[in-house]
Amino acid sequence: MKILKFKIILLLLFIPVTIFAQSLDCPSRLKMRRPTPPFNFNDLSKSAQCLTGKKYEFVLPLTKGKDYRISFYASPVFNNEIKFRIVDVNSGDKVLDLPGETEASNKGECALRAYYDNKLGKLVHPHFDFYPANSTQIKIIIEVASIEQAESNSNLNVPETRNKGCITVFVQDRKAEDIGF
Amino acid sequence: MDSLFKIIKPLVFIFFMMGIVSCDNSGNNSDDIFDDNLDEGFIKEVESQTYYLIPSPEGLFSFIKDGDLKYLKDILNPTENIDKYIDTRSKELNFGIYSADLAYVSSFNKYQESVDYLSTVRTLSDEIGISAVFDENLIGRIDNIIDDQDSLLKVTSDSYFSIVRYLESSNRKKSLALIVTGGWIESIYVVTNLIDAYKPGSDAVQLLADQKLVVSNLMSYLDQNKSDDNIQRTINDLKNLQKIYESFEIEKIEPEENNTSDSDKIVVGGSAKIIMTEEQFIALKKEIAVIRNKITKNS
Repeated sequence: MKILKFKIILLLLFIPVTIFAQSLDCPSRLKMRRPTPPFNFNDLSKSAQCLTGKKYEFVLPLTKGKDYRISFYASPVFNNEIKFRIVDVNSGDKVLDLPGETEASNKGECALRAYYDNKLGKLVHPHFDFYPANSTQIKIIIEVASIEQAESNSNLNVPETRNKGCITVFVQDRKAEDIGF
Repeated sequence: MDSLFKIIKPLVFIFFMMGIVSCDNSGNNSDDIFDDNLDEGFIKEVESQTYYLIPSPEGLFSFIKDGDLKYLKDILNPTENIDKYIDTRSKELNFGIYSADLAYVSSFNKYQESVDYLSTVRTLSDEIGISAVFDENLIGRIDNIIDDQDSLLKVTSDSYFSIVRYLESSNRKKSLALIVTGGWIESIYVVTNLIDAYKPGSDAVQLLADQKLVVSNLMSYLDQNKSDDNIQRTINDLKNLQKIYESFEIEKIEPEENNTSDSDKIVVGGSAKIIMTEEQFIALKKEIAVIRNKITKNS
């Protein structure tokens, strides 16, 4: 019986450690994302651990012949205080420069907050469609506001300890539509 | 027995409370995170980082399966070669190679070959400590594949993504780098061997030329892990290939009018095109064969 008690105490000690150690398994968060037909899941998708006050870059090769749909997701710990920029590496042009959230949060005004699509009659997460005229690389630059910035911007009380989370770049693709007559 | 219940009762209560805490969805999406402990190692690791993303073999083969490129089994790495891979580096690189071969045979819907390559991939996954990826669900899908409940390609590509996610989750970046490298090398080797003759501007030739962008990502990705001897050896092996790709010219072109039917689409890459000459194609085909055969023969 003593051995059994000892085993149970060990379980009590180690199971919570294991559960919390897995609590920030960002790559597995991609499993939660489902492609929207006719788009398919593209393996350039990435979910990474990020910290407030830091900058992250994702360099994606986009291949001619496919249409790409990119959307972003972030842990609420960041309060959507994130800047998203996309640069076409080929030309150096900035093709997207949006905050995580705006007050209006209408389609195309921010990268994170869902909006109501009248046409579909439901809430839709913002997405951005890309068409590579030739194969190219895009660089997604994500700047996560520091806690101080986030507080001064939104007056929300973010506890200092909650400053890491996951940011997901979700990429979908489909065969490019043939245009012509 | 009573004393056992005395211990179990608080245990059940603790787990119940933990369940409530972990289900608390106070945020505005399901990615909510609660963690009060940030150690220095973690902060250093996730500090301002660049992620170089590499397409999977399936992503590359998706371009050829609709075309008129033929199926050539003989160019693949025979499954019997598995016995040659004893060291970790050769196991991980060839895991990538076999994964690419699996994607290739399944993209042509070759059932028996897919089963053979899948079995080889599973054997190697055991040896490099990632067998957990092949859970009951995945194995069930593989077993039922013959009933056509799932497409071959879908199952094999899902297994590849599961492996990538598993390695990322378990922080095995170096293993992932070698697997991804092996997969990319085999994909390019296969495509170069499917092209009988160089045709400028053909889809397959352009696909190979466009890999200049992927090579640049791949080398940067490997460079991030070069402290590892196995990665450094791989970087050295790829130097000549990198030089060949660097010699490909980028032709400036006038951006075309947005001829897509959807005005919401953002057009990118319209101002330049990568050009590969016939000589460069021949050099690429030769060099990729050297690198790939060195890996498969484990020499």
